[in-house]
Amino acid sequence: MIPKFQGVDVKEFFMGMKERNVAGTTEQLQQAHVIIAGAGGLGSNIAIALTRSGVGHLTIIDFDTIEMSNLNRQQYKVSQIGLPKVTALKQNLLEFNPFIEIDTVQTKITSENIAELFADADIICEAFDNPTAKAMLLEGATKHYPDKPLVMGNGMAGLHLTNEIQTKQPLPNVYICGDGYSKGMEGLMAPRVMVCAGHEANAILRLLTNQPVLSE
Amino acid sequence: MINVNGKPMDQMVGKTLTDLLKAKTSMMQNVVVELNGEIIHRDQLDTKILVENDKVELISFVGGG
Repeated sequence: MIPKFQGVDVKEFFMGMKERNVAGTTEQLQQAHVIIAGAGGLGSNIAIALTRSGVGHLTIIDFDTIEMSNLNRQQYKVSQIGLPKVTALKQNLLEFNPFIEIDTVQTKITSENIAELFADADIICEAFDNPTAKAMLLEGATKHYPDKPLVMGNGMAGLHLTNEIQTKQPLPNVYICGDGYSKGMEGLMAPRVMVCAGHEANAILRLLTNQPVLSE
Repeated sequence: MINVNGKPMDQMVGKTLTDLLKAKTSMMQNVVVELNGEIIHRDQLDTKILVENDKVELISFVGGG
């Protein structure tokens, strides 16, 4: 008997979900493993984009639990306040796409555990809030895994111009998305956080489908 | 003369990367230093001496995410 999902053959459901994806990407994306560092405004939005696109294996790392102040931009629900972010995000993601593998690690990323945490990543995605942690991950990831692409976010606060959020490539394997100047202290609003998350997620999809992230 | 983020900078040859960082920022912990295309790790900043024509990129991070 063919297994059913939501009353539909599993294979048919899987194919149905891919119908509007870019043709020829399913296989490459399904085989990829992206590790996302941080499950806040950037991380939760990036994870949703990659999940819906069909990236086959995500690992989400975050130490935090959901607070009221997260709900203005992070993809959590009132009912999830108090839960570890990684637990809630995995629940939400599997409702968007049950055909991917999601691992969660509830821990704080430090220069000591970077080597272990990111060993299995095809792409490392930085989605922290804290600028010192961003710098630490850039140093650590390029030290231990110089050949793995690292996609980062830097500057998406306030209500500044949308078009100031850009993707840049300061090093051959490092992509930094953001305006580079706006600071979280001025307030963080959902749209610009989502724009920056979109930059990061699209950079990741382009890398996974062997396309240059920036025009040559 | 060295070059920092695309701009020439005087009087830095012979000084360390830590000296340069201190001159450029009060938030050293949020900045990653790239010297001639390579990231220099924090524990080496004190001992790396700048030489003529060095190209330095300071990658500064801001909070928010």
